[in-house]
Amino acid sequence: MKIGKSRPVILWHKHGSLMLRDVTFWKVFVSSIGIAGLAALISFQWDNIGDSAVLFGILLLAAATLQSWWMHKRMRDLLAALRTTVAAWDDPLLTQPVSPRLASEFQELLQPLHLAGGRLKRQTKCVERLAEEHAQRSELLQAVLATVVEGVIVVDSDEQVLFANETAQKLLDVNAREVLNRPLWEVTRSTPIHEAVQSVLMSEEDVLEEVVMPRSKSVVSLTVTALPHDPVPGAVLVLRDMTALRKLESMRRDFVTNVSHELKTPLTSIQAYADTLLNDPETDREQEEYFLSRIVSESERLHHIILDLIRLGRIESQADDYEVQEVAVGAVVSACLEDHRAVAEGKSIHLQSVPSAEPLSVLADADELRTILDNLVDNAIKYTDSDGHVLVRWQHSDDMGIIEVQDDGAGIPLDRQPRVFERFYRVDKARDRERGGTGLGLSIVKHLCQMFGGSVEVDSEMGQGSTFRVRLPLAGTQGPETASDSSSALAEFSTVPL
Amino acid sequence: MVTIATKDIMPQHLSRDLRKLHRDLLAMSSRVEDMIHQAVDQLGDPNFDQAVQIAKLDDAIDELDVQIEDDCLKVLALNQPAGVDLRRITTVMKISGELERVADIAANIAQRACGLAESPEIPIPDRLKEMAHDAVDMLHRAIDAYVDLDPMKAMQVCADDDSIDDMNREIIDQLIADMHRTPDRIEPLLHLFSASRQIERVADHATNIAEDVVYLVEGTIIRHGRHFAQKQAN
Repeated sequence: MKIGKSRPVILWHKHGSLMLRDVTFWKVFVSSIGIAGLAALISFQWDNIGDSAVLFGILLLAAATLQSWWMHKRMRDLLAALRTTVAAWDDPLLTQPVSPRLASEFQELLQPLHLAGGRLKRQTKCVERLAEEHAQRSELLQAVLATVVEGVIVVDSDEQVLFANETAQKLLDVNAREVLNRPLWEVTRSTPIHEAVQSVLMSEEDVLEEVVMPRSKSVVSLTVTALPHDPVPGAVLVLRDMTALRKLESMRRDFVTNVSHELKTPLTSIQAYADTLLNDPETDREQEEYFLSRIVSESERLHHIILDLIRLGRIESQADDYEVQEVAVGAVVSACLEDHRAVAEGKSIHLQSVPSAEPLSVLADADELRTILDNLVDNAIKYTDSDGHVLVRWQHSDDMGIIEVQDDGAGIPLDRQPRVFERFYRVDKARDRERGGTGLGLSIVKHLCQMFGGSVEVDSEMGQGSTFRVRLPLAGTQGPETASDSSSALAEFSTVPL
Repeated sequence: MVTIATKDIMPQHLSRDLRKLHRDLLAMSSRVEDMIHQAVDQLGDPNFDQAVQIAKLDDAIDELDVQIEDDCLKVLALNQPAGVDLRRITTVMKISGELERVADIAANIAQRACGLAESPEIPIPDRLKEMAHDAVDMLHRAIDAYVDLDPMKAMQVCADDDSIDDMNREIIDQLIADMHRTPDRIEPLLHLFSASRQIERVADHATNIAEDVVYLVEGTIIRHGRHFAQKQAN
């Protein structure tokens, strides 16, 4: 408010009263004295009046003093009122109306001020609304970016992180306390990612590559794009987790390699023996018999593999009808052990069973439960050295029946344990094939267990042996809806290639 | 971050040099971590080509180490920094030395893995894989502590070294027992023995880095602290 310092402005009110805005008390006082002096001069000229004229002069002087004091006070009050009114425009909470007295005195000054104040108020409101909209929009963007499956990171031209959503931090294994406004190379220490970002910031050409995170072993597909503008203000990194897809692809690749290998090996042998027999007419009878017996055993092996493959296919596609009913585990186990006793004794392996305290019945197809047990016991005998032990025991646990097949063989390395249920997976490629078997047994066990609403798992320590644990629903606790359960369990595996 | 916090008061070129040192060290650390991961993975799945690749990477790390030390000395000579800047430069020098040795170990472990591949009848003990995982994790956390300047994280790394030592002792006892039982398998068992020792040393270097971090943040040297305390008690 610099009103007091500006040049004096004289305003003529429409009622004709003179308003002095910048005239101080003293200026009014001096001019009043002037008028009083003029009056005294006139009175002195009127000699005949005499003393009464002097008195008149003094009265006039007093009146002038009073008048100027009153004007000064009024002036001060008006200015104070004006100040409050104008100050109120600044604060949206104080909507003080202009007092009528003030309005009459400052009409012409107030009008443009009032207009300007109104404009200011409207503009402030507009800015506030925009700010609110902006905050909402940025909140929405944050929420969207936070929930997208992809990881998103934005860096500026100096590689400082401007934004990083949760997924990105998880994918890049970020443990740093703070992420925002820190250099990306400090937040995540991955050479390929930094090289990609630097190359994008330099060349402005997008980079698309796949990075394997060394710690989590997850495969991350990385797309780095430069932000539009010149010079490049930064880059956006979009990260996608490809681990599951790549794993599935590698399983498919392994399967194709393995299946061709498993089928090719017996075929090659058969061909070689047959060729020898054909081309060498002088083979003696003993050799001939040996070759022929090899041809028979190799074709049997081939036959087994193909039968198992077909079987696995049928289990997966639910082509067969299973008679899911109450099956007494004890009876099936004894029958299974009886069949394997001869082989076990041949290898001097002690085959034992530990029955549960009370009889256990599970919901399954009796024939298929036998298949499950046969496969597990057969494996246990195969992978246990002579003088070893194979133990089958069964018991209750909550609403599941548990059947365990335990051996004290070589054991399975921890990192291979989850893979033993894959088709044709061999823990030790060279030696496992020598032991025979199709490489599909555990895969069949797993699918059958899932079919009956159960599961199978392995517990193993190197040098100590392995325990395969089958869980099947107890008879009586769960109705025949296991069939529908199995279909959902199967859906999960339908993506696995056969 | 120290370089940022004191940016306004320190000469601009010193701040820039420190930032470059910091960045180079982290780039080196990420490469060394990649190498040690690859080397440890070889234990489960040996691969001659990759072992050669790791040996080649080791040469690049040696160069980086020399370059970082050179840069550190230059900064020291040109700026004669004091206080936290001096501590930071000396820490960078020491950590880069530790990382260089970890890279050597990575190359060595990869060689052991290939040596083991020649005798596939010897399985790699799960315990050894577990120890390798823990040791590499310690290295990662030590560098995390350096990045965050977090002495608590660093102290945790130092504390974890004991469990690695125990595991190493356990594995070596088991290997010696195996050697007595099957003297014809001494050669592959020696490879395992050496691999276990090397992995234990990775954890030692991680501990050294963590100790350097404590020095950088708090200015106290905690190395050999326990050793001295024991001596005094005696």
